[in-house]
Amino acid sequence: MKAARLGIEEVTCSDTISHLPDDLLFRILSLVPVRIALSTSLLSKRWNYVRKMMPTLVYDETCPYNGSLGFDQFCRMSLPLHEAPVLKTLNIKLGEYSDSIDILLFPNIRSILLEIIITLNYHQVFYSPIRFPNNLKVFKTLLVLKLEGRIAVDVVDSPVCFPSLKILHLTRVRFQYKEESFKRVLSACPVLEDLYLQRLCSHGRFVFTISVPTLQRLSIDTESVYHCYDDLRFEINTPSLNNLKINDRGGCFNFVEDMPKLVEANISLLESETGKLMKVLTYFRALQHLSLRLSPSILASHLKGTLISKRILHLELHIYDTIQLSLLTHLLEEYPKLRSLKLNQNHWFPKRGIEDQPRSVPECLSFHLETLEWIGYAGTLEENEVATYILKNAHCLKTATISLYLTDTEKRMLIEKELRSMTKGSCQLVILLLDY
Amino acid sequence: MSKKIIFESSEGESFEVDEAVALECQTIKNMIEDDCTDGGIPLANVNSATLTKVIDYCKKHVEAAAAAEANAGDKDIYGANKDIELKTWDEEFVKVDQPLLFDLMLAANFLIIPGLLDLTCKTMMRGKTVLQIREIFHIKKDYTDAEEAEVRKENAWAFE
Repeated sequence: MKAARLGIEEVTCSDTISHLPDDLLFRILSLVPVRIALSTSLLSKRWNYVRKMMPTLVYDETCPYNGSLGFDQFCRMSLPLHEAPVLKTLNIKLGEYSDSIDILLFPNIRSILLEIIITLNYHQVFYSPIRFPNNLKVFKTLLVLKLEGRIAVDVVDSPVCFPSLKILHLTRVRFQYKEESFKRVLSACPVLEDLYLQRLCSHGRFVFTISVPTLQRLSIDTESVYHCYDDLRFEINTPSLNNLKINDRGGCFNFVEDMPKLVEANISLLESETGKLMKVLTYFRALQHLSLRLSPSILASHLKGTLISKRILHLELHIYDTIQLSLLTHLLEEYPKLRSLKLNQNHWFPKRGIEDQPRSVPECLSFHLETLEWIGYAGTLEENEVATYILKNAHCLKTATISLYLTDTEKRMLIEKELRSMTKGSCQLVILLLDY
Repeated sequence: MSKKIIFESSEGESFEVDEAVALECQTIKNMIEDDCTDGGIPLANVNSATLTKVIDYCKKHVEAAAAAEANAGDKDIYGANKDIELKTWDEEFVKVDQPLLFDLMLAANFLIIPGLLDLTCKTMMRGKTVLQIREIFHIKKDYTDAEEAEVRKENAWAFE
């Protein structure tokens, strides 16, 4: 820390920055545009060394300070000069169509590469092709691959191209030869653990065959990608999965095999698909966290005669119609061990009247439920009835967090008071306001 | 009443701060966990002017984190971005002269305050050309003519 002790006067007349430790200089250079970082070579031998050893490189063509360093120059001239034995992250952001990204980029990387992120963001219609040839050394050590934007992906000469790849993210990309390319990409990753698919463009029918024995986490999000002529199908065969997240409003899902290790499922699907899934969920023996987007009545009808709910500890429901006490209690009866319940109410049709009180209190309320979270509480008759019932009967409840959907201050204060009067002393009630 | 931690600057001046503020520094956090903060923490390589700024930064970020937590309910649904205000504050915070910025960076590095370290590192060379960097930081060229020609050739694009 010699440099740290130097006073202000010395800083102004001597070169303290060059004496900083490598890590600190790497950090400084990684936070300026790559053109500036690379041109610090011209300063001195010390800087020439530091810039060639940087563990992270970000080439951002869309950044206004990128200046005269074109992508082909970066690849042909700068990348081969890079001497760091390990390049932790290479992050490429391009703003124009290019048909030679793969040829320019991959053969010029000399270091052992752990993570590569390629993002293509432009307004032209064409997708830039990126082919991953399997004979390149650079892919052998890659752990993380993230592709986003106007990229048409293909893997040449399967089978194994990424023998170490654990994490694969594909966002808004296309596949050069449709299903065939998608299949090739997945079969090129024999030890993949984490697959993240977001808003993949298909145009027409597309069958995503996800058959990966090593996969532990799968996230599929197709929200707002559908055109009327799209027809997405997902064939999922992932026996080692422990975390599943799906957000889709139009696709067709087929779960081929049992998932005995699945602990957490966060599902937002069309109701017909959810029904299919609920049937399969019965075989997911380890499931503890379940989040679903559908009406309680549908959920209750799907749950009849299944065993899955007996083990669930955490349940989250996104509700799109009126919440009714009888349905909710009927539903909770199916979850005897439930410890936390989250209700996310998006909108409702308050038209039904108050119903009779249920005959018996569900087991989870009497013995297990510790956390209640309710988003979008507006204090309608039905909601008030449900809240009263839960707060009265949940004997182990420790925290209840209720976010109010109300703009009228007077009514809000009234409801707050009402909720507080219902809450037992042993339970902490947190009331939040939704910001509209 | 929250616990207080006392810092001592290189000039021997004492600064009393809440434990929550001190915990923003990973180095201090480790010391608190190891229970070796009694009698104050001497910071021989951080002067009073720098320490005052560092404490300002930590205070602001502790307050902002507390405010964000209180509004966590809104964030769930709308992903509301409440850190624009904090970013603006950060930008203003680093509008200081070069020597102080440099000392702040060293202090953030020594005390391990990742947010402040990134903020100061990012500001250090922002918007400057290589010529300006050489001038501001007094970096002497140590290349021979032949070496310089080689480096210039390697970085030919920088002169286009």
